[in-house]
Amino acid sequence: MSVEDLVSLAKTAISARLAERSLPVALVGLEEQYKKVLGLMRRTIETGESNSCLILGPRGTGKTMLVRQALKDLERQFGISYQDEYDEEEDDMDVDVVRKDFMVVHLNGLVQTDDRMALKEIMRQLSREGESELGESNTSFSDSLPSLLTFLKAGTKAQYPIIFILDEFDLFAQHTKQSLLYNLFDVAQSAEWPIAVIGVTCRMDALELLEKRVKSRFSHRHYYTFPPGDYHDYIDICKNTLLLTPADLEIQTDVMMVGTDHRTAVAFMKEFNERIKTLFEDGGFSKVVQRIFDLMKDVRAFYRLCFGPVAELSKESPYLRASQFYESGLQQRVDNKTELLKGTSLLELSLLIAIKHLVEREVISFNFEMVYDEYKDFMDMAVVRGTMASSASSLGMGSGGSIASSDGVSLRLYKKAVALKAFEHLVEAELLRPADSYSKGPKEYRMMRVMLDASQISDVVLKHRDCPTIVARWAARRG
Amino acid sequence: MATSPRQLLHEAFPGRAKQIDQILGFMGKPWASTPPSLLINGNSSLGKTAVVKATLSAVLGGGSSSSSSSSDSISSQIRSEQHLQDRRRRLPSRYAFLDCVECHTPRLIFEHAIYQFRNPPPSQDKGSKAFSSTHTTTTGTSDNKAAATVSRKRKRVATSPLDWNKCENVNEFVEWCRKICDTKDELDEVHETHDNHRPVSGSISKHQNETRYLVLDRAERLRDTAPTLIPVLMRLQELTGRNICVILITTIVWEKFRSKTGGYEPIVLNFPQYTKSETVAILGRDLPEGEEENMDLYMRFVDLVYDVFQRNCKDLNEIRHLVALLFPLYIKPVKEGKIQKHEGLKLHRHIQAYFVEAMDKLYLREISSTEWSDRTLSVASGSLSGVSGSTIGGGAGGHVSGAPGGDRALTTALDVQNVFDLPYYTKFILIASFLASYNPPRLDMRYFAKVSSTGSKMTKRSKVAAAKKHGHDSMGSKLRQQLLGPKPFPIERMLAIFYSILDEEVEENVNVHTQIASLVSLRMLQRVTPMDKLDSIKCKCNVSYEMIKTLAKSTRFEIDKYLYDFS
Repeated sequence: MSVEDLVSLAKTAISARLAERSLPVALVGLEEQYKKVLGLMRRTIETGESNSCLILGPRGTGKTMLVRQALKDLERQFGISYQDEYDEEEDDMDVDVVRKDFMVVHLNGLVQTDDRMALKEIMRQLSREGESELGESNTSFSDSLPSLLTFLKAGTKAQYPIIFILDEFDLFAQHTKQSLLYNLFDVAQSAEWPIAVIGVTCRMDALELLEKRVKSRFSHRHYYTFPPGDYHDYIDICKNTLLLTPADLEIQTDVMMVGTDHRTAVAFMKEFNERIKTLFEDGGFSKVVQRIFDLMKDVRAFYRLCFGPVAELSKESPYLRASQFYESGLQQRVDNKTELLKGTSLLELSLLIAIKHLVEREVISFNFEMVYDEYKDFMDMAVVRGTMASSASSLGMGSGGSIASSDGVSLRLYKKAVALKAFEHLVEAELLRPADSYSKGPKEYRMMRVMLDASQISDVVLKHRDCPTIVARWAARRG
Repeated sequence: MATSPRQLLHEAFPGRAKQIDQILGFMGKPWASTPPSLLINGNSSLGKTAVVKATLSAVLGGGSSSSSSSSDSISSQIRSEQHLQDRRRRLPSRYAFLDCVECHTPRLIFEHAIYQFRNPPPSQDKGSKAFSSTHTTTTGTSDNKAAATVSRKRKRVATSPLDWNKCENVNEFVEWCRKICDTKDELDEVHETHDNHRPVSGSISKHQNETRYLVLDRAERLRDTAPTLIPVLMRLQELTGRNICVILITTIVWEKFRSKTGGYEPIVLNFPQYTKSETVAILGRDLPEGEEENMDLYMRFVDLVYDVFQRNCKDLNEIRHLVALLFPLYIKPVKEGKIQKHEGLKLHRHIQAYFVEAMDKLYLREISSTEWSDRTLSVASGSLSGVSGSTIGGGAGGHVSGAPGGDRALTTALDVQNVFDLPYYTKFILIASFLASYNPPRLDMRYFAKVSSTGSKMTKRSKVAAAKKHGHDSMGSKLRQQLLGPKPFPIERMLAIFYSILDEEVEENVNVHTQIASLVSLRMLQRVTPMDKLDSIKCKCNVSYEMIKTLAKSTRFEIDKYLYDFS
């Protein structure tokens, strides 16, 4: 195996972890919740006890990961070769051979947007799992609730347990009458068929969304996940994601592996991991990570930061370098609005400054005519002061200078129609938004509100590539 | 095997090397896992769409005759890779490219995406087109699109690809995505035979197919389709459990996409503004046909245009439009032998007047490029002396008198406001409604009350003066009626003003009302009370000050005397 192959393996493995396609190497700070969820599912499978629970927590704290990890472990324990819980396709062929001890139904509130669709999906997933009693073919299922219910209610404790995972649980609660939730919880409570209903949501008040009859059937078990509270935990999670494991590089202890290949792979892994460790000791890098931690404690924010540097791994630079992270840290951090505004024309910038002045005078909603008037006032003043010519020439217009300075082309009062186009461009970029909903009457008079902060506008003026001093001075002036 | 797709792309898109490398880096090898979603963000006409399209088609086949998908991959496999590339052209596409303006409902998005995924990528000519014209203008894009749809239709007949599939909701789409990603085709088999060490990592299934890319152009429109669509697309990879990457292309920032409950955040890639050298390099490719010998002149001109316009016009398409419009004018004296090529200053002076004018018409596109070129041609062929000096009006007159008559083309063909004519009384109705819309009712007595005939003129003037003075005091405020726009007024008030400003008597009241009705139907007056309400009708005047001024001039009515707080 050449270095190139190793790098590409490492790249694939790490980016799969970053994209959350593969599970992290270790759980950090979630051991408690994990044990409980795992225990709950295991009891359903082993003893046929029905259960329901909710996993609550902010986004990116590992709720879904927890469930996936638990399912993976259960699959391993109960004996079938399990790759990815979504990957039913793979299991299809050996379904007849290997007896499955339990079935999993995945639903997501974003995808199954009403109960009917959810029911259809349940049917599909159950029949896919190859459950013989469930019927001979897909079509034998009428997509109605009663048939599923009779099927579920006809069961005994000896039946195969089914684990329902309801991702984005809060969205299911918004379905009419919550009939799906009601029925699932009802089956769970009446202990007819061993099922476990596990809801996953980021809404802390998800329980309040449930109707009374639904709520009373719910077991009221909830587990909370929290973002890593400790900076060290956060660092650990990040480090685990980037560190390579033997499996990542397909290092096996098999006899299949040729000796030299094995050795290079191990050496590469060691070197790579060593570099990661030094990376985390790097001052600048820690500053970047610390900043993310202080801002949002979101692991995904760090993941986003990593995608770029990981994608850059190649034969030439097989290891992650701290400098890459500085750059990508900056890239993810910039205010995109300012970035977008840097590319605006001088006319648009002038209009924004005029808007800023209007807002400072407490004219919160304004229309194009007012902005243009303000802009015109400034231009008139600039002409009166006679600073126009001097500013234009002092700034220098390069080779086209003669035209620009003699006519003052660089800073000129634009006709209303041209200015209106520029104004509309700002609206299109959604830097301005209509203050009222109806849009009758001439568009010049339509009231608008600005979606930028005064400080953002001043910031842009400072950062703008070619903003004449006189405009900058106008922007800095107050009132 | 001299050029890799990466180099080709770099050549095709000056100033976008970094972005291309980033995208290529994220894509990695055909089967490598990618970030779940990318957001490509930048102002208009910065090559976002073109770069993404060209990159995907270069790497994933369906176009460029360039070499392999994995430029950095094992070089000994190049021949087979090329073979692969040939096969790939007949295989289902690895990417779907959708425009959210075209696909404005979730269903259209799903079905188009499925169709594109299940059929071979669009044929070669389109891919090469993407290469040759790096920046399709706004009009160009629609042309392309039309061509694409035509070719798609033709293809459907010719090679009878798979049928159009129905897909009505997200659930079905997710199911389709799984199906699409799981379709094994010969290509995958080729891969399998080639790579005995395909990546197997962690819990990822050992059989991993090539990444599919779903590109959504003008993604800002997505927000109007369905509330849950964006969160779904952002985590399509997680939902399907397959290797699929969603790329959104948009001009607005990500913050505007966030939904209430939050969701997976994409990686943001920003396309920055072009620098001067990059812009000039891009413009340099637009050298008109048959002007090859004037290359240096053209480049000089491009330089000049950039310097003059760059501050106020960042839109590359607009600059291209300007260059295309103005270059024939610039080069005309040279062709006619009046000015030598090297006399830069003279040429400069000659074109200057056009620049001033073009500045005034920036972005307006009052006439199309073809119309423009037709006109310049006709002027060039006709006699020049007769037309010259036919002015454009405004301050530019001084320069223009020296310039040949081609400049007229830059002005509007027909000024609607000047040509539009109304009956005499109707004009007064319109003027009266304008006054009623912009003057405060409390001042009506001052302006329009018919006091005894003797002193009327005097008092009126003094009152007007007083009003003017009062107006100047409040100039600082931006809440003048002129700026706030027209206010609704009762018809009776307008009629009172109408009779007041009209010197003669009008007998036929009925006709006046028909005129009002016809003005409403012309949308010059806007009725604000509902149609079923017959009495106490209120209207708004929908006409600009400029137009009223020309109307007033044509009736010799001094409107400025009667307007309060106008400037």
